Amino acid sequence: MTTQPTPMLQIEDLKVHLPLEEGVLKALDGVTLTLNHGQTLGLVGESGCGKSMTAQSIMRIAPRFAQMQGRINFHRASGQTLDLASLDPQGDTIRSIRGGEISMIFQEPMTSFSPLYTIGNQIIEAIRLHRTKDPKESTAIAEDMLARVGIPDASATLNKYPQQLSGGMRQRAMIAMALSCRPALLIADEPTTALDVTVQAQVLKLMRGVQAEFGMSILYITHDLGVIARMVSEVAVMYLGRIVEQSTVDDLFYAPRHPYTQALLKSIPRMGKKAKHRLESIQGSVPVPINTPTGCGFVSRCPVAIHGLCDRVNPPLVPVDNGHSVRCFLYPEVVAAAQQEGAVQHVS
Amino acid sequence: MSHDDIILQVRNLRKYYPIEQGFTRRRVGQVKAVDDVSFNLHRGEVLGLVGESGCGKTTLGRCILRAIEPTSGEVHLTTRSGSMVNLLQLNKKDLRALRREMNMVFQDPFSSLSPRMTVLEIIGEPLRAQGVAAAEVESRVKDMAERVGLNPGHLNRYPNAFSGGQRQRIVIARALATGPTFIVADEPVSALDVSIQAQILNLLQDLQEEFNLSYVFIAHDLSVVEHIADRVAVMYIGRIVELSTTEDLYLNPRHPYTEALLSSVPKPDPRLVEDPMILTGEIANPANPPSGCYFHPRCKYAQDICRQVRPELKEVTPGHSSACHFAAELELKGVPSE
Amino acid sequence: MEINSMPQSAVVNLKTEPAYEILSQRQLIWRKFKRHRVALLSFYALIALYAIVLLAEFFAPHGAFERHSSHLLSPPTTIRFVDAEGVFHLRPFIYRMDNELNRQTFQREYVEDTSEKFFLKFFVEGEPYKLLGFIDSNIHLIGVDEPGIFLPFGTDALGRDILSRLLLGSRTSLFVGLLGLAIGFVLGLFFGGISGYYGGSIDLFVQRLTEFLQSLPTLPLWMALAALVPAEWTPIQVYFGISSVLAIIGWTSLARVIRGKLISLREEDYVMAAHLSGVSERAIITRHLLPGFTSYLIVYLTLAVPQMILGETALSYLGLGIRAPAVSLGTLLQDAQNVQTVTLSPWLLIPGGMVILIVVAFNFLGDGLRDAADPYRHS
Repeated sequence: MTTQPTPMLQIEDLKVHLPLEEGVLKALDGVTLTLNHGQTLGLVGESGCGKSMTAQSIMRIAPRFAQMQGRINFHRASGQTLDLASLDPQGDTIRSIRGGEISMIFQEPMTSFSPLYTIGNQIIEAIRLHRTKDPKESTAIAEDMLARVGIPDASATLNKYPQQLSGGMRQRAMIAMALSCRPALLIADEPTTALDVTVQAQVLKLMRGVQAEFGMSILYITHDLGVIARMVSEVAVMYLGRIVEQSTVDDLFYAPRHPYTQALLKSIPRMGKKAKHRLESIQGSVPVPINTPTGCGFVSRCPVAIHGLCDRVNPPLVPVDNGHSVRCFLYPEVVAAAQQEGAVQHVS
Repeated sequence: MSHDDIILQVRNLRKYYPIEQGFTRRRVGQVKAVDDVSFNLHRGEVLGLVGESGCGKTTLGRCILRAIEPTSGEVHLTTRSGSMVNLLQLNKKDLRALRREMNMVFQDPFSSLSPRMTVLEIIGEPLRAQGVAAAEVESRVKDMAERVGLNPGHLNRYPNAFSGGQRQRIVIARALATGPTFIVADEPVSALDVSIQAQILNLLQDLQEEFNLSYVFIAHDLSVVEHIADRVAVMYIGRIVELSTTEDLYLNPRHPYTEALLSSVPKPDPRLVEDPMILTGEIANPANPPSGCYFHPRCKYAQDICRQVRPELKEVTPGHSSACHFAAELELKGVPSE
Repeated sequence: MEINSMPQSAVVNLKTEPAYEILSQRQLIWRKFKRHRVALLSFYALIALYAIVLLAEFFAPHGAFERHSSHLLSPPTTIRFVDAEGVFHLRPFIYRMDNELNRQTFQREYVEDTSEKFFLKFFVEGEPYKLLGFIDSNIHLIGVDEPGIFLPFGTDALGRDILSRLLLGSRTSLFVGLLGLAIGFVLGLFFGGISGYYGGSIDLFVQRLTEFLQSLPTLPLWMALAALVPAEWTPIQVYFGISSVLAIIGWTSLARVIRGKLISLREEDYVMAAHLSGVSERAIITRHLLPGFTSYLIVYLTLAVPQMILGETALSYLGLGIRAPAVSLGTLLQDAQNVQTVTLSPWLLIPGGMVILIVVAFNFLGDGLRDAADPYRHS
């Protein structure tokens, strides 16, 4: 991957608002994200930060009453660029992309496999929908895929029902199904969170293997910083419906810029560190993103918040270093950008 | 730690679930959820209990507190008066009276709080159950709420008004309300977000120092356990396979399963070029475990003897026990300390 | 945007909790229920209906047993604003209907006598009655002066006013439903409670018993039990008898609901927490288990009322339930049993419309309550 990276998916200022009884829940509040060809981008954040909603918005499987704004430009292999956000979520175009060019792996494969059909049935159906109508060929592809994800006795597994497989095997079958149509983009939403640690290690290794083999782009969503460190090359950190920091994985762990990222990295217990010390915790809890005021989302928990600025103006996401963007007024580049936009006129 | 300072002694604890079939409920087998577990817990000590799902760690925690009735074994608790009592032989009345000295912190802060009671009622429930007068209950609840970091002004609210982390504080306050000496903490942080985990772990540590508590700390997250535990027991299919001080266990594991567990955890460090030791297969079905050592089908060091003879938990070095035939010979890789 | 123009309260807002967070479960349920408009409408409609039937004698224009011998099978009186000369009157009025023989068809027909207008009046004197059984009165809400006769829903073959009988009959049916439900509730709570709480062989026995009762065909069983109600019983005794018959069949499904709920609640972490805190069994039942399913019970009971009403109606319609002279929706519909009367006097079917109205209202109410019963599902 030494060639100039070309973008495959460009999300621009994506907003997803859910009108609820208590007010408008801003699940996504201006997400801007670029995923290049062949890249593995990690999306990390705590529950409710909007990382799963981002994935659902790309696939257009967000709740129907959700109000969506912004653009999701998807550059297809044919050279055509498609704004996924403008498509009809029930239309033919998105349905031909879903499971074909873009496929998804979920946390709990039991909910994405139907218990009424065999594994083979479901994988073959996907193949016939997107790749080939020939029954013999599609069966052969399905069997080959199951073998490639390390399922022993693939042909017998074709005739099994999802509930007959163990959790790890089911997740492998899920990956096989997702890869069976040679997607250009694979979205993995917490694919190993429900698995035990020894099985997680197997599946993580498998995912790295298939990425090397198939070369697709992966959007990897997780809350586990350990998984991020092992799996991805580029990371975006989400907090309260916004991306607060994006950089290479090495930069993020060794030179985090945003106070939230810094605090998050300090608060996790690490193996091999001297036990029994106190962890540096982040005070407070994640606010519910209902009727949130303007300003930085992290301001209520931030130890270095600038009074009168952070609580009033939402900082823009600005590159502060080579390939390292951050959304925080601690950095003069961000303040300058905000001034240019006219969001801030004077800073004392 | 001297020997008389033992607060909890578990001996040969077993919990077998029968597998029944058909209309007549014929017994066709049994699941050994907890199988012959013995250990000691010292006063002021945190014993971590780790293992993957289905290894029996939660069942063990519940059996110790008699939340479920064990099949056989002994659980001796040193009471505040200094005498040792076998919890499994107590009648209901005596057990209820002794509940003030032990309690449990649950994993899920949502299902473990009744949505129909105010926080005051929830934290006060153990006190009322022990016959504390109503006026005193309120002041003691306020006191406890402050110690766990809850706003005492919010006690008349219902749990749904609180976030996950605050709810877990309520759960902890309830467990500590009667001033127990021994707590079973069953995955107390695994349902929480990363940034909240640290708050709750710190709180549990502070309270432990303040009240000289002893914890059996059940978790599947090895880094959390390393952080909080003094000693660690590793469980696999109902049995303890390794038991040692935390430093020694993480640095020099003596059981291949522990080695694999430690190696499997993804470390939050992208520069660590690691090739995790990948175990083959998954945990065996506890209703039909393999012969010999339960771990042998996944173990890369397995020999013939492992397929035939089940190894007992034996001390390998002082204070470090392992249930592996080759515990003394194998050079296993741990986690180097930084 | 200038910084100073930003709202000062921005940070404060972040920390103030929405008001719903400090509401109790009951308040949350009510808030949620209010959002279900049809259910709320049904709720108010049912309250109004129960109030009206309790005071049926006052709201009815006539006595339920009062015969208008000159008006047998009279069609409903038309309420008019425009008279025969085309003059508009602000006050509604009726014409007296007279029974005449049609010389061409030789059939008896009712013809309006347009010579005299009878304006509708409030609080007219009429047939005396005892309101709620002890207040003597003869005031009726609406009526006309003699010799006009106001029959808004027509009359039956004996010349009795259908509206008046409908109100009285609805009272019987609505309260038979409640009474039957109360009896069934006690039975269901008892059997479901011991089944779910003790488990084991008691559970096994109760479960087989409910399965047995549920497998019996309902209608023949009802008929057999209703036949046991002695013919010489007074209407009140029959009334209790029929309610009990309905309850004996009705408790089984309630018992299952309670058993299932008890078993699932016993597994809840917070029940185990109470147990581990040394709370006594009795306190666990009263403080955790019972409040845990009251909301479900209310929903279930609401949805069961129309079943009871339909049961009573069916039995009475077949002549096995409430018997004349007592009036219920079922006995009223008995008059509409043959096709001839229905084609010639379709107004006899109006009580059927009432049954539909009541059942639909209860079902909507139950729906709304079910949605509201679990206020934490979304939070």
